Amino acid sequence: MSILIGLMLLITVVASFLVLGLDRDYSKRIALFASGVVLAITILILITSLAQGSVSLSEQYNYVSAFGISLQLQMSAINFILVLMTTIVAFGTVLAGNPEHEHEKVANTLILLFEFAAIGLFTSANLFVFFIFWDVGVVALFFMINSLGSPNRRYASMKFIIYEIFASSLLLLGIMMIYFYTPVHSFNIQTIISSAASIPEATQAMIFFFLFVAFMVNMPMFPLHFWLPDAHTEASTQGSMLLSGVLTKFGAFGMLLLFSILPISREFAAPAAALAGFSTLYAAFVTMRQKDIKRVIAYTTIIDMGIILVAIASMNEFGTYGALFGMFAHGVTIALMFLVVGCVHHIFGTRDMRSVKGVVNQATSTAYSFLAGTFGITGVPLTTGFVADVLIFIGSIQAFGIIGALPLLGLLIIGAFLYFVINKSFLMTKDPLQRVDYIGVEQKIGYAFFMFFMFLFGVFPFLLLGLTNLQL
Amino acid sequence: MATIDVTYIAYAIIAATMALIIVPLATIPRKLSFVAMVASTVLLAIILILAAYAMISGIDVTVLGIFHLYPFSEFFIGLFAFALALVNMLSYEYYPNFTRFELFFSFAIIGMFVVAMANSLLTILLGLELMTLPTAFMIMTSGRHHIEAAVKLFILSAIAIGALSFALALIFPYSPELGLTQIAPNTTFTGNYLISLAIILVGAAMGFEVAAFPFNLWVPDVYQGAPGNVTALLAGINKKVAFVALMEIFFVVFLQFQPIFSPVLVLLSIATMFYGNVVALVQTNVKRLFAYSSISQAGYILIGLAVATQFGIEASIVQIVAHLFMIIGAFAIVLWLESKNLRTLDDYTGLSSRNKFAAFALAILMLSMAGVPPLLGFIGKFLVFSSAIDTQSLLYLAVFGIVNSFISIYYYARLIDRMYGGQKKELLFMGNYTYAVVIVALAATILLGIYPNLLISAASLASKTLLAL
Amino acid sequence: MSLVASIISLLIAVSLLWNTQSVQSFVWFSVGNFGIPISTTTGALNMTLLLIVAGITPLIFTYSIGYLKAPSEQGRYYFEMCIFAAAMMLFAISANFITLFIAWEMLGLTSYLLIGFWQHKPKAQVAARKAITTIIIGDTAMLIAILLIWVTYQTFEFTSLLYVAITPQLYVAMLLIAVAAFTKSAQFPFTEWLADAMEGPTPVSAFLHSSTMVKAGVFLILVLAPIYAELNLLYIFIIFGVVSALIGATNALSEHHIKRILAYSTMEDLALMFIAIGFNALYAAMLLFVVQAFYKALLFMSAGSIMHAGDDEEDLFESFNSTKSKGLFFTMLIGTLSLAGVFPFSGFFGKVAVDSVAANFSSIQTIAVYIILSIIDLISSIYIFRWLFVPMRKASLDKAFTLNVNYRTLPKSMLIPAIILAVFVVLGAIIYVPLTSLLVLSGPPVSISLFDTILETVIVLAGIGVAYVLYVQRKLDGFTEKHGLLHGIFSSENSINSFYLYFVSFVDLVAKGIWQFDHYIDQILYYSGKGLVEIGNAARKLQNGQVNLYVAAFMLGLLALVILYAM
Repeated sequence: MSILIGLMLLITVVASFLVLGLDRDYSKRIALFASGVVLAITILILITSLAQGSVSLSEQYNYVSAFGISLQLQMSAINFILVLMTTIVAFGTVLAGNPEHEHEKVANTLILLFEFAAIGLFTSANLFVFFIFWDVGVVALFFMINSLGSPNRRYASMKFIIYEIFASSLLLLGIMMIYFYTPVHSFNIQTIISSAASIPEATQAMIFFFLFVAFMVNMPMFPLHFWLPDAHTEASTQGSMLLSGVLTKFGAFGMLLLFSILPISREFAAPAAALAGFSTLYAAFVTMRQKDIKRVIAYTTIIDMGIILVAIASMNEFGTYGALFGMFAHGVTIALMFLVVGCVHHIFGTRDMRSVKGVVNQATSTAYSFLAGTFGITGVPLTTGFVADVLIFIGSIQAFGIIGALPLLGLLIIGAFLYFVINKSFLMTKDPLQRVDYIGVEQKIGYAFFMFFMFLFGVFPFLLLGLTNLQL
Repeated sequence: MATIDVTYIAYAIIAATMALIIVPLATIPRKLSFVAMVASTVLLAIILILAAYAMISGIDVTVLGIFHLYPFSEFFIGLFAFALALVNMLSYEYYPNFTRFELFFSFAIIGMFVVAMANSLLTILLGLELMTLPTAFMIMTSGRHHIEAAVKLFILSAIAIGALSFALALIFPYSPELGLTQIAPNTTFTGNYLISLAIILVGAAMGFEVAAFPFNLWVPDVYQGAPGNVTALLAGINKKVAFVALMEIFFVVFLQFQPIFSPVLVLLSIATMFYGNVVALVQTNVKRLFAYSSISQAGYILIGLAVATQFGIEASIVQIVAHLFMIIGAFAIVLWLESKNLRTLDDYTGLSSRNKFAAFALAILMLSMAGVPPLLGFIGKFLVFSSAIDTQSLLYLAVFGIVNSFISIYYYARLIDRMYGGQKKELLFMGNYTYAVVIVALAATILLGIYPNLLISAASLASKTLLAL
Repeated sequence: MSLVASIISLLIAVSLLWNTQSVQSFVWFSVGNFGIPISTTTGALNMTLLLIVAGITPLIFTYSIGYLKAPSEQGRYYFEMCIFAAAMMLFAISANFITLFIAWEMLGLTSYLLIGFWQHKPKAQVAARKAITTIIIGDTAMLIAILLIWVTYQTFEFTSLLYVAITPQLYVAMLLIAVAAFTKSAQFPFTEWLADAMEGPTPVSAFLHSSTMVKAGVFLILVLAPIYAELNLLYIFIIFGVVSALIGATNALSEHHIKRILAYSTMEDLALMFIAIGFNALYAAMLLFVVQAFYKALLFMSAGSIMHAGDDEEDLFESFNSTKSKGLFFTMLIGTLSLAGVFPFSGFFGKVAVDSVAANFSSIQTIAVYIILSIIDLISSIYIFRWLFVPMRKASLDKAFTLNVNYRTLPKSMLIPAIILAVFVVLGAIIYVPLTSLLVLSGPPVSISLFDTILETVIVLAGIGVAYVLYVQRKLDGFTEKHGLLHGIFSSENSINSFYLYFVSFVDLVAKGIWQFDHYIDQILYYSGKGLVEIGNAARKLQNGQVNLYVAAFMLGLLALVILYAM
């Protein structure tokens, strides 16, 4: 029994309220400090557990005892990798995501609250707790989109919350059904895994359907992805970073849980992977028609998450590791990408790729960070994306044969398109757009920060894959 | 310590209740509003403490043959005392002639407690009457433009009470004793269609009182027409008293007819949820919005009752408590803004820039109503849906409930969106009592949501003792 | 700085020669019981490529000192070049697919960055875009292939693939790898990016797009040739090689951009190597592989020098007075002679070695190939001497009065590497002999018969003659001028490009359709939500404020319940 996870949760939530309560001048410092401490704790756990070869923490705090529900938290490799990603993204978001310094107080409160929810969700050993953190995270981001962002944000935030609550309603239904149809009546994931086989097949299929749709909305998958482009486009930079970097992983983590909990999911694995693969290609084509750079990046999220679902659905060791590594890679990379796009918007006042030109002239670091981010998304070797792609597609080819490699075509299309964007808007310096503002040193540190992790774990993937305890 | 005869506590509760009537009588002549408010609040606090103590020590005693104090009734007496104290403070701040209000209010309170403590059908009928009529007077005397609402409430509740009386009349020939527990074992009921008709009549009457579709068409008009504090009373407490009556009648008197009344409640529940939520989607007046929202919440509560297991009742009780706090808090804010002449969704635009706390509190309360964890509303809904799933045959009821809870997010989120958008306007300040009420409601919503153990075990105790009768 | 580093790496590379052939391997990361290793080897084949790369790198860097003057661009330039050189060396010594793929992708990306190095030139950006698009197609094919191999055989090592059972997966994987190799080495149908890549700085063209990077594909196939042989797939290299060689040769003949001529020529050379591999004559392929690196780098350096001297004029027909700088003319001449295949320059050995492998006349196909190869030799000697002859013209003959011929003197740093390379080109064949002894390859060793030598010489001399007649004596000027009939007949550039365009617009059309579809679904979901609101609106009508309606509703509800119960 350790207290580290509880400590992280406590720090974030207390800091969140501190930021809300104290003067605006302190907000960023507190938020930075809190998320920094949490990041430090995570890295500490990483170092100590690498020495031991695995990570395994579990904690328990009393909660709704009438239902045998307690705040059960645990940390195996699965949870840890996601928590690490969350803390990295959250710290980077607080540090660099707001070059305009607008509404810092609200933003930082919500970021910390969301970090709290995300850490809690990724470490939950209990479906009820999982659900609660899920909704806290969703609501925090709803406010994030609704109160910070571009003029059309309110429509987007409504769309977001409707889709997400739709998901969480189904999620709740599924979780309750699992509870009541397992003979032991438990929310504990371990207990459920060991006894889920006794749920009747038809009911299992129903539960699988509910949960799958719920996670599908969140990930998001075609045909329920429509909240994502709008939400990302209209949200503030920080909002997009968290949305894409962390929130979409809620669904992916859920899928991971779903596929390990229900024995029947083995039968649905192939259709699920087919859907995910289709979603990948579909999103790749849709991306090609986008004109707003932020929308482009938003759609790449669908592509990458589709690939991650393919990995999860392949249900083998490589797939699982691939999905985890893919989630980590995508979180860090996409946060970098949204940061860059946010800075482009800040510098030039527009994100339309038809008018943005010559970024490299005016903001060199921004242009090259975008390039590095593209490397990460398209899975260029020595970025985390490459390791993820290798693992994922080994897994999916193992499970589905050569067809399992088809989603790579989605990456191909998006890769070609992203390089097209880079050429057109970032690297070509002919008649450049004049900048209207500068970015601070914080943003540059932010680029470096994300790139550091992107390349660190890309060059030394064993730092994460050395953690071998895959217990859910 | 020398043991006190526990029955004294029961007497003390009844005495304190009756003493409430003295407060307005003593204060009306001199218009001592503040004194009246403090006195009645103190009395309610005493009742709350006594009821809590009684519940903890598990007192089960029948007084005068018509009142029965046992954990179920003690739980609700305590709950209502607490909520009434909140409404009392609210009314003090807004109601033009507080001492006169206090008179009707005291009668209504007595009616509520009578229902909670009732030991016979007749007492329930009496209590309901005693609760509804003063409420209509409260509305009527608060101003000329409220009269329409008062008349509507009056006429329609008369019909409902009529239906209930008719049901009573149908039962009477078969069971001369109208004590709740005395009717139940009567075997001549089985297969008697008159009794079934009585059950349906009771269902309709209770449907009226708890605002179930299609007996609820009066609700939005009356809620909108009534002054805000009375609306809070109606939505927050009167309706819950009706639920108490419903539980007492169905689960004590008609428990053996569960196969008959359960489908009725299922139908009422589904219709009510859909009606409330779907119509709420298009509302532009905030008060009406909350009226429809509370209709839909009644639908959720009915789910647990339709399930009719101990767990279902327990879940419904939790949901009743949840809705009580949420709606009182929400109406406190609505009432305050109404006093500033802000009524529609458009008026609420930019509320957060005018009063941060109000917007925050209303947002939290609405999220709780929408069932977002870890707030109290979520716990209530969770338990209610769980109870439906637990029976396995009523799984679809949970599905309908969840669909509705999904629909409801739209109008809640829309209002939240309005409050946090828009231009900056001049600041608005909240009165102290309103502030206190909102704080209490908010604290209850958040704290009981995060740590619901206490509430759930109390609800569990209450439901068990109800079924044990 | 970069120069020093490159020289050090050259020294290291040379010192590695004395190592025995060794494979070094360590596990990069592992999943469960499976490790993904990084392994390197210093086999003879690998050492050959490593030495070529390590040898050319310092020369290129020296050349760049003179070529690239603006200090603001140097940082980026040397950064990208160094990464490229490192990736190329890693590629050279890689012993398994994963290592190779890492290097492979980095080659592609640095190539992309370097092609688009002139950020102010939109054409360069378009070229970079085209290159990266082609390259990532190859990368994806490659990734799929190696993962497929891993899943089937649980190995990434080249050597262990030789001993595995043949499965359909292996066929698929090998075909995909061939596609990848074709993209990298600019073979049909992925030819056009290489010519466009000439928009990059000249040292880049000399380094990446002639001597090293584009040969990664050839090298990969060389390494894997035994497996292709086992699978009987070698003939695809002959087919695609012949097509590409013809495209390269004819386009080179019709092109008028100084560097693009060389680019098409590179394409042709690479195709020749593929043809040699297709005949399983790996020694021959390797010979051409080595010598081509030197003479093509030399030619590109010379081309860059002409352009540099001629005020960055890129058009062959607008360049004059190339004989004015003796050193430059000397390097051009050497390179030209070598490319054309004049005995005893190294190019001769390479070309003849390739020709001779097809010269066994065992079947009609090989005869056809042999004839085509001879024609290609003829064309290449014509176009390269055209390349040499045209800029020799005196400016005064043409438009001397309108042209501002600003003949800059060339810096030494641009001449010296060229001259060093020229020495290599002359001695290339001699260097190759000791290397051959080290190489252990399948297929027949190179043996050049007298017949081949004579035939080749005849062909080359004929080519020189034709070029002399056409471009020095200027017979048939209308036919050979810049956009004359010759260009019209032989240039297939536009048709291939329009094929690409059709492909891209097809993809675009699909994207457009899907985007519309996306929009419609969004609308459908939106209106289904809207429908609910409309229901709400309708239901609201119930609420008309009339008490009698409410009473009626109460009664109706009661009635409904009773009826329901009665039923």
